[in-house]
Amino acid sequence: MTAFVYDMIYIVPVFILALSNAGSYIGIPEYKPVYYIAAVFILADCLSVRHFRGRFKIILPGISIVLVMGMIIVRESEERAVFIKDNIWFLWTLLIVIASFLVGLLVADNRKCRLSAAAGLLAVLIYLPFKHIMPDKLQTASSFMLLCFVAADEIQRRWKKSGYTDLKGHIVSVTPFIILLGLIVYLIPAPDKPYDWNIARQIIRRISDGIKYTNRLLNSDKEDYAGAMGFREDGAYFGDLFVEDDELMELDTPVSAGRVMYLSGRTLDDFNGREWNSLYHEQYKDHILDTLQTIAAVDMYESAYNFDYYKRIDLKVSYDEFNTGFYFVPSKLVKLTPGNEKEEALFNSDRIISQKHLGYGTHYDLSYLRLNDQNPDFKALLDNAAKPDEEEWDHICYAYNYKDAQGLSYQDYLAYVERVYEYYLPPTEISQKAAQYLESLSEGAGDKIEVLNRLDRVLSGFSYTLSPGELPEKIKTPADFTDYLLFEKQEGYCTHYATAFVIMARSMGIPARFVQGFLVPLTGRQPYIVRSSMAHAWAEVYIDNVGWIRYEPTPGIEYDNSWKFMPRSVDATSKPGDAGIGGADEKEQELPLPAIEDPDEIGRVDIKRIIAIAALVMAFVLVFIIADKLIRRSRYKKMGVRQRCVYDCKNCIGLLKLLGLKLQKGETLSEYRERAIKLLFDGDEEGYEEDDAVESDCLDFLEAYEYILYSRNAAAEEYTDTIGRNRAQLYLLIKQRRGVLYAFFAGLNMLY
Amino acid sequence: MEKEKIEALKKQLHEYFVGKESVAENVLICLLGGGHVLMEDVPGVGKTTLARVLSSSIECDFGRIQFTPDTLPSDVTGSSVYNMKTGEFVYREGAVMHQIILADEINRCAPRTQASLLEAMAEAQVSVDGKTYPLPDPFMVIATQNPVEFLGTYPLPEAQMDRFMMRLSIGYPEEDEEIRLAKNFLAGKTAAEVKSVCKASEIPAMKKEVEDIHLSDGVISYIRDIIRLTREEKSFVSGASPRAMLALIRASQAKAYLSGRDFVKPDDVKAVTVNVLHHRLSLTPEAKIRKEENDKILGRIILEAKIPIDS
Repeated sequence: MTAFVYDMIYIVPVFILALSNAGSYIGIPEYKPVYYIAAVFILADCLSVRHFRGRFKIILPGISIVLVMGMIIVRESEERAVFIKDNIWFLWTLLIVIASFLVGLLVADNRKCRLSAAAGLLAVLIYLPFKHIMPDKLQTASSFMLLCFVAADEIQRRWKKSGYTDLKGHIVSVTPFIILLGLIVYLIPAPDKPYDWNIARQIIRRISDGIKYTNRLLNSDKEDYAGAMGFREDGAYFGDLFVEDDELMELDTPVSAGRVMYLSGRTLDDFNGREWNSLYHEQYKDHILDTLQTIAAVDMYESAYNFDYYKRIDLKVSYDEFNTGFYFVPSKLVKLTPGNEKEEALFNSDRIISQKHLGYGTHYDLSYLRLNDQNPDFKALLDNAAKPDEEEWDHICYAYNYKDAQGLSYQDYLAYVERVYEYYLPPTEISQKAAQYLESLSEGAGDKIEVLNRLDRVLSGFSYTLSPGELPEKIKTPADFTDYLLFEKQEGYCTHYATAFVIMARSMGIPARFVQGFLVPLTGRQPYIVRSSMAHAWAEVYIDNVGWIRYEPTPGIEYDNSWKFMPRSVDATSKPGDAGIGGADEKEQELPLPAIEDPDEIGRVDIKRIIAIAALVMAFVLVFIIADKLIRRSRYKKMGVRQRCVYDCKNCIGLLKLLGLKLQKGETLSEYRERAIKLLFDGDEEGYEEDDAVESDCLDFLEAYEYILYSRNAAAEEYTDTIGRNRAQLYLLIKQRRGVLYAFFAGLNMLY
Repeated sequence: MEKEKIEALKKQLHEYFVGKESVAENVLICLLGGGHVLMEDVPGVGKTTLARVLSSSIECDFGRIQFTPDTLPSDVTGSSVYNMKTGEFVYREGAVMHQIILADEINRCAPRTQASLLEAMAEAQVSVDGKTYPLPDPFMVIATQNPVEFLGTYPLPEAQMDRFMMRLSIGYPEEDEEIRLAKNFLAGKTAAEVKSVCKASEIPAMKKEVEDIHLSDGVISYIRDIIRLTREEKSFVSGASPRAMLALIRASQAKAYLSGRDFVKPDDVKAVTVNVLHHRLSLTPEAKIRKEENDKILGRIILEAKIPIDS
């Protein structure tokens, strides 16, 4: 056992190193675990060949080979070539594992090899950071473990001279601790860059954030209106937004995402006159539903030219010195993949949060649709969008088969629209003065959207200040607030303007919401840095059948994020609306939802194959057993009487083993016999009343065995009867006490 | 044949000698194996009684030498005395000329005297003034030493320890044994009234039979394995000597004989190993610091040695 563990100590780290390094070169299958399982299987085969005794050496490798052959054979001939070609990685894995096994053995057995391997590893570990290459954590951990083992080995070797250690045994006994160390190395957060002392800074940062956070919690009642604009709840950002300018995030996009990007942290629905609150905070995938709705609207309107309306953009967001629980995402989110596989993004109606705190080196990938909403032509869509029917919705869901969009039915969509009206359009009153003003704005406007645009322009004409002073005490309702901003103050910052805009929009019967997040100018080189001073608030308005559209009422922020519409080809009908709907219909006919393959069919074929492979393996095991029995039989036949008796006695001892009695180390046969009698017949005899058939004389063979082994010229013939009888008795005993399964094994064992 | 006698002998020893049964048996093993015994125990646990009962039971003559620092070799071996009548030197027997000898407190006498006794033990003869005188057969020395008092003693050197087949310690008796002892004492049972079970002349024949007890190759290699393990053990200064192995073999044979078998089982070897080997091995200073004990290490070694169960 010790020898086995000692071998493993060196083989396993080498094995992990080789496997993880080679993985990227040999085209491992998409489903990674298969690769590792195969490798572990091969390793087990190698180990069994080395450590099992006698005929058991073959059984495991044999099963593996039969398994692999079986997998190939069960395929039809055309399939076979493809299958082999697809799985050529397996051959490489085989080579790598055998090589790493041999290297591991060499390292375990030869001190020079061990030392040079350790030195090499150490050199590589030191060299890599200089080259700015980050080794995989698993690799680092396993090399670290290997180094620890070699160090322990060397120390033991020194001790060995003084005779205090049995080397292998001692190393094996320190194994758990070294494995623990390796685990710790594997689990501690690694810095992103080699020799990055940022990690120390980050730790200090975290502590100071903690202090700030507590400070805020204790003094929250004294905070003014501006204070409430930070990102509260769930570990949100608490930096002093305008004083310190921290680097919070980095953004990376493969393609241009326009001049600015709005990253929304959360949306708020309820304004009490002084503060925004989130009442609508439930686990709905509203982000995705909104995206799907927009896609559906474009698809129905002008599907052939959807690139004029939106572009899909991939984005990688890396959190830097940022302490938050939010995923900051652009609107029209398509999918969100946390950087850590174990992480899960929890979709809420107003925000996307993480189970754990994000920040300090975490990252996530997402895709979103960049809307061309500032293009004047886009407005036509807002006016003319039609409500998708169920067929259209299913089609969209199917065509855009995003992971996050799975399971969102048409009913979900309808419920979503209802919810939007329920939460984002609460009864909102504004003063008569404001209503009159709104009236004057809408003069000559074609529709409500036009009014909103006008309001946007008006608000943008006000002045922007970061220090508007405290909000007067008298302001208690949303109506008070709009009056104060529109007719009294006419200055403020983003929060003020967005708030006023949302209230006005709601008073016109349009659902609107207040969004907090970041406004990131995408200038200069990538990655774009998001700073705390880029925190921003804006308004979003729900346009029927299209979804949420952003409005930017804050003065001073002007940008053009749109792109031009492509000229429509001659074929297209002059009225884009008709063409869109027609196109969608045609598509519907052309591309009916394809019938899903009968899953039962696939299942049956697979089960057949699995059964075939299993049968092959069983057949191999059977052949193995039969061959084994035959060999034993022929050997037994050639034996003399004495040898036969010895063989039979050993077999009987094997039977006793099945009864839970193993011959222990340093135990003589008579001691064994006494123990057996005590265990089998002295115990609670009440429980075994019915086995009066078998008595303790079934152990007589042990005495006979002693005679045969130790006495002078023992006539083995005398004992053959006893031994034969004892074997039968023991079999009976096994059957009675251990049940049929054990008896089966016993019978198998007795067969020769 | 001898079986009844041996049983009777065992019974008698048990009756008159109050103490561990195994001690009596081991003394018999030494007797039949032709070895000598070193008793290491505090005074008053029955060493003398044991020797006396044994000698009376087998009708041997019993001699006792009380060793003191001034005991001379000639006291042990005997000396030539000038006979004025005949004008010749006549050999006068020393204390060693008995069949069973109790050498009390052997470590109290000078090394020279010890050596003379040990020579007699090894050679079964004594030389006085150039003449050799054979010792009687059976000849058995039961030497004793006190493990507590070391002041003014000459501890036996390793080489001489090796000449004893076994070192035994009797120890204090168990509760019921001790009560039995008290009752015997009140009933007036003493070693003096022990009746003989067999004649001294029968002992050599028994010894011959012991020598004929069969050892299979497996058991021999088992014994050899034990010896090898003592040599590999780090806590011992040196392992057991070949003489130790021979003693172990003979003791195992005697043990098998006492059990009425004509072949040696590994159980016999196991039973005698500790007593045969523990006085021949000395611990390294480091092992002493670690408070290791010979007996425990030997117990471990016995479990480590491979029991021969393959043909």
